[in-house]
Amino acid sequence: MKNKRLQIKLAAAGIALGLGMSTAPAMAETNRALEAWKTFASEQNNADYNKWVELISDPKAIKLAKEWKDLRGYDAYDLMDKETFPEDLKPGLVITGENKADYPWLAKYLTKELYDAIGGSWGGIKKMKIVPTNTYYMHNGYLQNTKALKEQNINIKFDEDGQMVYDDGSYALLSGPGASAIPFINPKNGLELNWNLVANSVAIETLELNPIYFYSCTAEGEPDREYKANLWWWHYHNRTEIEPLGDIPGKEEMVEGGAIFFFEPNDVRGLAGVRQRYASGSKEDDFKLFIPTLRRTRLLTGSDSEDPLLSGVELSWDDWRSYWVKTDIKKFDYNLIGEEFVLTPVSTVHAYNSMVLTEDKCAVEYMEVELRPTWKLEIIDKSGKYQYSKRHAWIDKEFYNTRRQITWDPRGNMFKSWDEKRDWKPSTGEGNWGGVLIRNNVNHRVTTMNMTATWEDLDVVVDESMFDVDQLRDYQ
Amino acid sequence: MKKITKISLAAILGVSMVAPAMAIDTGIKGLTQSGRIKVGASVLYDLPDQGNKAGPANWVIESKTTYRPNRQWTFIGNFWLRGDMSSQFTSYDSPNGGLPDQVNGAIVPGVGAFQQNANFNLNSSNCSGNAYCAEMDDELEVLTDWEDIIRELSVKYRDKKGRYSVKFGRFQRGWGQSDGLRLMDVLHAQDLRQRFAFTDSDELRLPALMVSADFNFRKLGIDGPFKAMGMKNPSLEINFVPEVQTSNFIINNPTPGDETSGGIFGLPWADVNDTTENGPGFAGIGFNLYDNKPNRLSLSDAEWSMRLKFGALGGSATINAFYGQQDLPVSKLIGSSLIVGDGFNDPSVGTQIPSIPGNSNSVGASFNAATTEAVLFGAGGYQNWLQSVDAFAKGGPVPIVSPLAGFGCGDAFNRIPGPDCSINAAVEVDYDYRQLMLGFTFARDLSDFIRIGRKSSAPTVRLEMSHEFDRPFNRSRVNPGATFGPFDGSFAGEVTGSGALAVEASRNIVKEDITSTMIGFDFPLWVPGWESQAKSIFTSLQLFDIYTHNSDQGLLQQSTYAFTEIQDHQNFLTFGWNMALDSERLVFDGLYIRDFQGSGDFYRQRIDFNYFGDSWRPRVEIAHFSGNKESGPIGTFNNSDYVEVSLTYQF
Repeated sequence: MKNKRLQIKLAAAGIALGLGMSTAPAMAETNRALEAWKTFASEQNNADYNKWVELISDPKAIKLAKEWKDLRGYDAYDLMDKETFPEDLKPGLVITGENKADYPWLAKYLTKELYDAIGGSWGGIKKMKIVPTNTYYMHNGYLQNTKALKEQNINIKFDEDGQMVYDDGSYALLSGPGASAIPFINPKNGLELNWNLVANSVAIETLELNPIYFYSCTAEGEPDREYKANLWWWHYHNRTEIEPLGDIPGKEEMVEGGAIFFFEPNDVRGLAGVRQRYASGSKEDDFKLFIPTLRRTRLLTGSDSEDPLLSGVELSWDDWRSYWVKTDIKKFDYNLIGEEFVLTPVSTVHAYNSMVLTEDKCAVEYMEVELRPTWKLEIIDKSGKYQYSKRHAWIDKEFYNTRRQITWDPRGNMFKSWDEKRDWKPSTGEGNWGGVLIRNNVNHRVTTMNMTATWEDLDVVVDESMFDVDQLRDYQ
Repeated sequence: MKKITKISLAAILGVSMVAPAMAIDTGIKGLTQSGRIKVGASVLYDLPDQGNKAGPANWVIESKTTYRPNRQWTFIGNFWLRGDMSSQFTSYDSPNGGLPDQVNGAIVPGVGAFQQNANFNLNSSNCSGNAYCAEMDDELEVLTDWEDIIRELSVKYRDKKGRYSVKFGRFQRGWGQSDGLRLMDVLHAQDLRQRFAFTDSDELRLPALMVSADFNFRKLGIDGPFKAMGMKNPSLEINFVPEVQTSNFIINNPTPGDETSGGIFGLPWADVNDTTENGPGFAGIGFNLYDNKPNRLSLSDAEWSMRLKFGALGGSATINAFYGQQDLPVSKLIGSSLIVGDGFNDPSVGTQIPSIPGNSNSVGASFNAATTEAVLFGAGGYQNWLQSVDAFAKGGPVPIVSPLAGFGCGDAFNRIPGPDCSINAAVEVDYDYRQLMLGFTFARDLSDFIRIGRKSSAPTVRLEMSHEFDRPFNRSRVNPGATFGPFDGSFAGEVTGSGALAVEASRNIVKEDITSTMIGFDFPLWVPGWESQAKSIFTSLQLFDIYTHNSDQGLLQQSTYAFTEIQDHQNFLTFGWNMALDSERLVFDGLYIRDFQGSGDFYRQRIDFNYFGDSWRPRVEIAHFSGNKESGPIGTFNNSDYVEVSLTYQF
């Protein structure tokens, strides 16, 4: 009897989400996300959607999706099959400040914070549209190494600092399959889930955002500051997709590095920062800043990473890629507190702009969201000294990235929220960024970002000079 | 009309600029264009008995263009035009304008007797008695020399494999770990004209035509020996600078023949004394100065420097070497000229006697250096005569006969008839000395050892050491020994003060080593109890020790302009802090410098009001100097305190 009721629910969900289950061809040539998008695109008669369908129809994309599904044991649709969704929660639904009250379930799927933002007076979202759920997957390097961990039964455990190590005590992020893999494909606790998020990193071996714009806005919704920069990220070990392959020489003790060079405005032009993470839990990040007015490099340390990246911007150095805090079990508790479906911005920037900012860049004109299966990670600051007393991150069950994030300040007030649109490339599974919306619920300031990802010649345009601040200072 | 045109220059450019919020979008990939226009005005608030007066009003127009067509090539063009409108605002001929700098006792209309001379020794040309004088001349109004305008014009090539890069052009590079005071940051001479050394180091350094090459030893496959010594990721920077520059500064020169004035940040013209503080003076003695600089563009005088960078001991280290040229001078006596017929050193009034036999010299003076020294300091020489006159005035015996009587000059004290006479000594201001330095820097965070404060933050430590070999100094105390005629060198007394200028270089100049050390700590301060603090307060404490070897020889701080003597150990403390409030729109930036031996204190407070978007940057800057006027570098500017309001438009 119970099974029958479940089947009915699944059928209802499939129909509601526009997923014609009975019409699906053999899954080797397609997948349910692709079919849902085909149906949706044909209904909407929108060139952007057609372009997206074309991208996810790439045989390489379908093959990768299938291999990841086989490895994980599920895809998003398999998980959705097990859940009952409101009847109105279906692709094509447009939500505004005027009609959101008609859909009381929205607060649950958006979280209350984002629900309030729809039609809100600060950092608001004017219009939101639900599109079909995608199936996401990481690139082939992560696929093969994650498979290797599983098939070779390679054990990854934690040392006394909570860092990932192999059985021989060596750091998993520095060598072997663990250096480029999702270590706990079915996380059993918060620490494992945290490490999945850390391992996901930026979801591409070499990243260039050229450029990235930061827009800060006042509590009154007025533009305050605007910055333009180039940003880079490098995965240092067990590289298989983008040259240089293997390990980056000279980075034997480091896991990855992020770097940024500012062009505008004029008073920060030439500011260059490089932050590199050591695998050792007891070793602070190598964190250097070139200050053009001094023509000198400053060494930053520890709590400097809690400072805003730029004046007026609601983004600290620890907030790069939403979460770049060093894992520290002495300082933080990591809890897996639930599994939830959430509506979060869709990662279709490779085909079209799915999150359009208002002209003043202080709010969202239009945002497309999709239903995502997530684990909910809670990180509690035990020391009472960190900028966030608590962090809730919804980690995608397919892509292992942050789908949504909310933090609380040390006094317990809901603080900053993070929503991002990703520039994800279906044919390779590589991820990148397209834009971010950060809302500060304490002071009602808003930071938005727009990024343009580089996809061509990444083996040539990014090299170690970006990760040596003494060379980066002369970038341009 | 010319003045009106100059005053209007920055304003016209400012208002005519189309106001984009950000840098100009060139539409060409890799090409960027940005710039700024800054206009400031200041008030001097520490002028004795003078109330507040308008001070420097600096302006800047800057343009920066960069082009990076690919990862191999980068082109940068950075130009700026600078000036100071204060001479226009406070011109001597403007109503109630000008910065008075009168002698004590002068009657100031509407004020009364003037009692406290600020001792700027400003240019007093066109200034009649008891009137307000020009604050400065035209030197700083617009800096139009090409070397003042080109801030950077460079091209950089980078090897495809990242093994090396070469940058060529006119640009600057900063060395060292110290802020505020420079130890190893010696690649470039300094522009001390506008704010002396009390401004951003980026604006202080004089860019030079140079070639810089960086070599990555690991990529070149030659890092093995370094790794064996524990040096990680070694790289070598080599700089070749064929354009040799000397530091720019302006002397407030009140003498009629050489009218220069840098206003409140001009260096004071040295009073001519025979002791540093309170001698009887050198009446009738003047000094003409002649610059001797290295060849401006030369292979033989070119500067070389290199820096080995590497990781060690958990931090970043460098070993530096510099073989260049001194950018500040020593003075060398060339000779002197006897002016017969004028007691005030003016050859156009009196007659300068030609070189006497055996006294040939490079400037055609009457006497060469040895004769000058003997005539001035030999037994019965000019100094003896002055001192005897001084004693006579105080009730002593009849003075000795003036040595100039032998050249036909009169001596009223001894009833010898003849014309008034005076002596102009010729002194070479000589920059042409090599500078050889070795240095070491190190910086690392101390998180392995200490975590303190509300956020358990770790300080970072910065260390910088340098050793300079054979730095030339003028001495303030020398024992003259030259002979000429009756002046046989038997004078065994000690010459002090500016009289030391008139002593042969062989006895006046010595070369000594300087060993300097700086240790600094940076700490991000999170204030206990301030729970809503959004950004740490950057704090930086530095301690300096500058040890000059054998300094007990009376080494002068900077002849010919600063006659204070160098202490063996000169110690400085600096403390900098930066605090941003209100979503980092209100920014306080403070810098304190303490000169322990000179008992000088400097504090600069900047307040930025970044409330007006990306283009407009208003700033208030307050600088306060406190110290003995005779003690450089801080005390020199004891009365130069100012409050400046500036507005920058950037794009």
